[in-house]
Amino acid sequence: MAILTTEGLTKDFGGLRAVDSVTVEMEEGKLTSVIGPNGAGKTTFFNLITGLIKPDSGRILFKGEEITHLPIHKIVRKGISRSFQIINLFNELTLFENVWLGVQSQQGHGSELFADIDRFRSIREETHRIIEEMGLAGKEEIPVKLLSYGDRRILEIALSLTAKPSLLLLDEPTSGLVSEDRKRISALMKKLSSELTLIVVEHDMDVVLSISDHIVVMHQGKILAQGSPVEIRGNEKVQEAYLGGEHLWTS
Amino acid sequence: MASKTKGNRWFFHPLWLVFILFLLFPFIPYIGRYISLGTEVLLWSLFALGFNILLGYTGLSSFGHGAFFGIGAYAAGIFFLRVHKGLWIPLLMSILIAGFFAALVGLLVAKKRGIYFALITIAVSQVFYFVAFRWEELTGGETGLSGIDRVNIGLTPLLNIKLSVPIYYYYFVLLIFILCTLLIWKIVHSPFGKVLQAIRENEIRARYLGYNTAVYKWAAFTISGLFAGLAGGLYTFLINSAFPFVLDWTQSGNVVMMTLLGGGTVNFFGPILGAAIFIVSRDLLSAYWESWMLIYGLIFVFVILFIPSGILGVIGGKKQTILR
Amino acid sequence: MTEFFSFAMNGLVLGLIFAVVALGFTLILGVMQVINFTHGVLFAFGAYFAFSLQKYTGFWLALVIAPLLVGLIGLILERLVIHRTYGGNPLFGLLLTFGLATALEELIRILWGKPGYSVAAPRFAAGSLDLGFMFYSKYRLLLAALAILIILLVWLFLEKSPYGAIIKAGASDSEMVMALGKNLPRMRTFVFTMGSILAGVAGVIAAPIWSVRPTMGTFILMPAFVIVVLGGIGSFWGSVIAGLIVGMSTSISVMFWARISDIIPYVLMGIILLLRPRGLMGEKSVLEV
Repeated sequence: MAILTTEGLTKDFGGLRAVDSVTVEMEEGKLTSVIGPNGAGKTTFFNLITGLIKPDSGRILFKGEEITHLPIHKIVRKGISRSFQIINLFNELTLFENVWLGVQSQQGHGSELFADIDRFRSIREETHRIIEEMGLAGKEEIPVKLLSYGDRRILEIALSLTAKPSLLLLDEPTSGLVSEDRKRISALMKKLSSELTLIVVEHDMDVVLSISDHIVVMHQGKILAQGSPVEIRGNEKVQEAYLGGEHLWTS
Repeated sequence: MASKTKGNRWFFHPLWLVFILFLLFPFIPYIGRYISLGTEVLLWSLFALGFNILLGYTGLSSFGHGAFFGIGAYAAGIFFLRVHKGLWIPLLMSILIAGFFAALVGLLVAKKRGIYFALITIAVSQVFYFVAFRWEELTGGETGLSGIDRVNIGLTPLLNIKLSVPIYYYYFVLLIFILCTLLIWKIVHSPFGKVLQAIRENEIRARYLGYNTAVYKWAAFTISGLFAGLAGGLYTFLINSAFPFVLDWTQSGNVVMMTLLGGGTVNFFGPILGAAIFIVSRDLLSAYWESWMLIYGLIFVFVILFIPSGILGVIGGKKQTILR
Repeated sequence: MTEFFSFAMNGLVLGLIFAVVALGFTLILGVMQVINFTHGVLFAFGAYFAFSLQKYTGFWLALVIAPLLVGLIGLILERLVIHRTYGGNPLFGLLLTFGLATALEELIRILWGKPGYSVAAPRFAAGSLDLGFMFYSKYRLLLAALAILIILLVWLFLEKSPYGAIIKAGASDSEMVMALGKNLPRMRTFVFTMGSILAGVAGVIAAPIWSVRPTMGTFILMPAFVIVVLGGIGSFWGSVIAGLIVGMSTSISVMFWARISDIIPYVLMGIILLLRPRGLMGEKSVLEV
C-alpha cells in the first residue's frame, strides 16, 4: 500500500530544473533509500513533500489525501516528519528544551499563555523517555550548541520523532559521523522501520544496502531507477551514472 | 533564559528585589526627589519589557512599536477630553486601541522577515505619526492635546487618592508595573513563551514540529503592542498632554535601544535596567549640554558595536547576542 | 489647468529627487542588507556643503565638490563602523546607522546652527521660463535635467560597465555576488560611497527649492523607505519609477486634499505590498529568509 505518492512533481529554480516530473510511490512500512549524486534533487524532493517549497507542477498524496499545497505545520500534523541534512536545532536552548518543544506540540499544547511549564507532567515524562531511548540521557541541561556533533545528529533525529510520525524522512542522517555512531544510527533506523515508514537520503552505501527494503536512485532531478538493493546493485544505468563521480561500492 | 524558580528560593527571586527597589526609590536620598523621572522609568520599563517579548524572546526586530506607544498615549488623551474624564477608562482604551492596531499591523508583517519586517514597521509607524499630525480635529494636530489631568481614584469617601500628587501617581504606576511584570513573566515562562523562543532560534524547525509560527509571531507582536499602548496612556497622564512626538519614530528606536542596552536579549530584566539607564542619562545629558544628541547617538553606536548583548549580557559573561 | 501642470511638474521634480536618493538607498540595502539611516543626513550634508561652498565656488563647482565630500563622509563611516554589521541581524545595521544619523544631525546643528538657510538658485537659472502655456521655474527645470542626467549615469554604470553589472546583480541577490568571489569588502565600500554621493548630490540640487534645515534629512529618509519597498529592494527601475510615482502622487494630492498628501506614499506602499509583496520590480532575494 502506498503511503506517499507523487505525480509529475516538478520544481524549477531560475533556469535549473531541480526536480523533474518525479512520479513515485513509497510503500507503507518499508524503508526506502533515496540515493544519487549531489545535486540530484534529493533534498529538494524532501522539501517539496514536506511543504517547505511549493512545486511548479505535480501532486503529492499522503495516505490518499492531497497535501501538495499545505503549509509545513499542517503536513506535520498529518503524520510526516523529517530530519535535516544540515543540523537544524534550537541552538541556544538545552537538549531537554529542544525535545520538550517537539513533545509539547505533539500533545497539542503551545498556546497556553499563562500556564506554568513545570506543570505539564505528561510532556516532561515523554521528553525524558525519548531522550533516554535515544541514548542522550544525562545531557538534558546542556545547551545544544555545546553538544558533540554526534549527539546533535542524534538529537536531530530525536526531534523529528517527537511528532510521532507515520512517515519519517531522514536527510543524510549519518553525515559526518564516525563509524561507531554510524552503526548506532543504522541500528536505530532498522528499529524504526518496524514501527513506521522511512524514506532515507544516504550516501553511505554500506548503510543503504544493509537497511533498505527499496532503493530509489535520482539523477539530475529525475528518477533513474528503483528496486530492491540487489536489483540496484546490478543496474547498469546506475553504475554508469556513478562511474565518473563517486564510487559507491567496491565490487 | 530558563525558568529557574525553585520553590524554596522564591523569596530571593530577582522579581521581588526589583519591586522592592522601586518601592523604596522615593526614599533614597538625592535621587529620590525626582519622582516624575522615576515614574517615567517605570512606564518605559513596562514598554520595554512588553517589547522584549517580541525582540528578545521571539527574535523579531520591530522598529515601529513606538507607534503603539503613541496610539495608546493619544487614545488616553482623546478619551479623557472627549468622552470620560476618568482614569481607568482612558487607560483601558489605551490598551485596547493600541492592541487593535497592533493586531492589524501584525497581520501585515507576521509572514515577513528581516529587512522587510523592519522597513514595514517603520513605514507603518510613520503613517500613524502623520495621521496624528494632520487629523487636527481628533488629535489637536501639531499642538497636540493638553489638560489631561489625573483624577482622584478610590472608593470615596473611604479611600480617595489624589493622583495629581506626583508621588501618588508614582505608586499607582508602580502597582500597574508590578502587575504587568508578573504577567509578562508568566507569559514568557509558559508553553507559549517557549514556542516564541523556538521561533527565534529556528523558525523553520518550529514549523516542522507542527507549530503555526505565523500565528505565534502575530500574537507576540500584538501582545507587545498592548503593553506599549498601556505605557503610552500612563505617559499621557504623567505629562498631562499628548503631542505628536510620542509617535515619532525615534520612540521606536528608543525602546529598541533600552531593551538591547540593558541586555534584554539575554535576560528578562534587561529592559528594566536599560530603561533606567536610558531615561536617567538622557535627562542628565540634556540638562548639561545642549547638543547632547551627539553623545546620545554615539552611545547608540558604542552599544551596538561593543556590547550588543547589553549590560546584563556582559555581566553574565555572554558575549554573543542571541538576536538572530 | 495650468495649476495642474504646475503641480504635476513639481511632482515630477520631486519624484526625480526622490529617485536619486532612493537609488543610493536601494543599492546599499540590496548589496549589504543595511537599512542606512544615515542616508537622510548625508542628503542634508550635501545641501549644507553646497550652501557653504557656493559663496566661494559658485554653483557648478559646488555641485561637483559637495557630493564628493559627502561621499568621503560615507566612506569614513563605512570603513570605520558600518562594515562591522554586515551579515548579522539587519537590526544592528539599522540601529547603528540610526545612532550615527542622530549624532551627525546634531553635528550639523553644531557646525551650521539650528535655523534654516535658504540657498539661492544660480543666477543663470533664476526666475521663470515661458513655456507657452505657463511659466515654470527655470531652476526646477535645471534640477530635473540634472537629476535625469545623474540617473542616466547610474544606469550606464550598472548596465554597461562590468563592475556595475556585478553590483546590479548583487543588489538583488547578494548570495550570487559572494559566489563570484570578487573582493567583497571593497565592493561594499564602493557601493556605500556611491550611495552617499548620490544622497549628497540630491541634497545639492534640492537645496535651492527647500529650506536647508538640520531636519531635512529625516524629511527625505522616510519617503526613501517607502519608495524602496514600493519599487522593490535592489531594483534600479523600481527606485526610479516608484520615486516618480511617490513624487507625483504627493504633489498632486496636495491639490485635492492636502491633509493626506503625507500619507499617500504609504497607502501606495500598502496597496502594492498586498498585491506584489516584493514591490513593483523586486526580485527574489535572500532578504526574505
